Amino acid sequence: MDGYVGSWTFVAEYCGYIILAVTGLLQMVAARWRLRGMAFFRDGRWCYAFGIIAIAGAFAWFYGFTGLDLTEPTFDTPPQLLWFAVSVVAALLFTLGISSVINRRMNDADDYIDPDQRGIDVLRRMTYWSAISRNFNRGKSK
Amino acid sequence: MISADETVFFWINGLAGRVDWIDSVIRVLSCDVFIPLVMFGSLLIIWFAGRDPERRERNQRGVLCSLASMGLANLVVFLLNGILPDRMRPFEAFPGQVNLIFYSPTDPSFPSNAAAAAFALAIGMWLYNRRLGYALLIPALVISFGRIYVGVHYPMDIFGGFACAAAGTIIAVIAMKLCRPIIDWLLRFMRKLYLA
Repeated sequence: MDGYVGSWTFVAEYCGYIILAVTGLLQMVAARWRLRGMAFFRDGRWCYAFGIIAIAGAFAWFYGFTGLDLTEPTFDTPPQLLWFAVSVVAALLFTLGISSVINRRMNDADDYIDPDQRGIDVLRRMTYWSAISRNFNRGKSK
Repeated sequence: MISADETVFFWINGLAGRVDWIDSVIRVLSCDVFIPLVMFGSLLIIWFAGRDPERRERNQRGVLCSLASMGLANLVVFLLNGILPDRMRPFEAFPGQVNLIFYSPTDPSFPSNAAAAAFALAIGMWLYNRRLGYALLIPALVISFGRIYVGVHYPMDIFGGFACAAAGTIIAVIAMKLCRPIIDWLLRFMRKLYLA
């Protein structure tokens, strides 16, 4: 069992568990604070449903269907923190990337970003990709 | 001669091994990969939470304080482990008398690293938002109770972990005051990236 916990299979399963759960969580966040540019679905109720299924699925899969045995040690703290951070960043990038593709048509209205109003509120009216690319283009044109 | 600490330990640990499904649930709640995800997930929600930018920024400072407190609490535990004599785990001190339904950790029993990390996350947030801080105390108490139930910590180890968490949080608050310009810059940078 030590072999399993120290293996890349366990690392991959742990990262998959975190990525799936955090992706679900981010969809619930998008629905709760109406961050449409970050949502996978137009209707917030679908975001909540997706979030609940993803989180419950992640827990059920990781604890029920992997080789995890809680009577054996898992990670030490440093590698656990490292893989946790990597997985959270991966989930964030995945969410922002996929939602930018899904919602690519929502950026047709007023696309001006007031420099004082920057922050996640921008994701209420545009996708992450459009916000970042507009920021970048404005920087280049100065 | 059994101390009060050990008496309370045996009282709680004596509940283990009676009902399989309760043992399984508490084993999951006590492990290193469940409550940490719940607590970090809660911090992720708190990061985005807030009706207006001011409240959100306060929450985000709370999240940063929680994370700093956790890191520093673990550092305090690490330093104490180097100074204090190693306290044996209950299952090592009382072989055959403890219901060990978990893996056997090899590091010293006192203070509890898991409790220190969990309480530090909760106390760090409590300083910025009482309600959210109390909410984070629930998983911290759950993992602390769970660690006694499964047979790897005495109650005093948990109190030791709580004290380390408090010490870590005090250092974190001082560090955050000293590093305020850096924190302000970090939050501004995150806002420019539309992530705060």
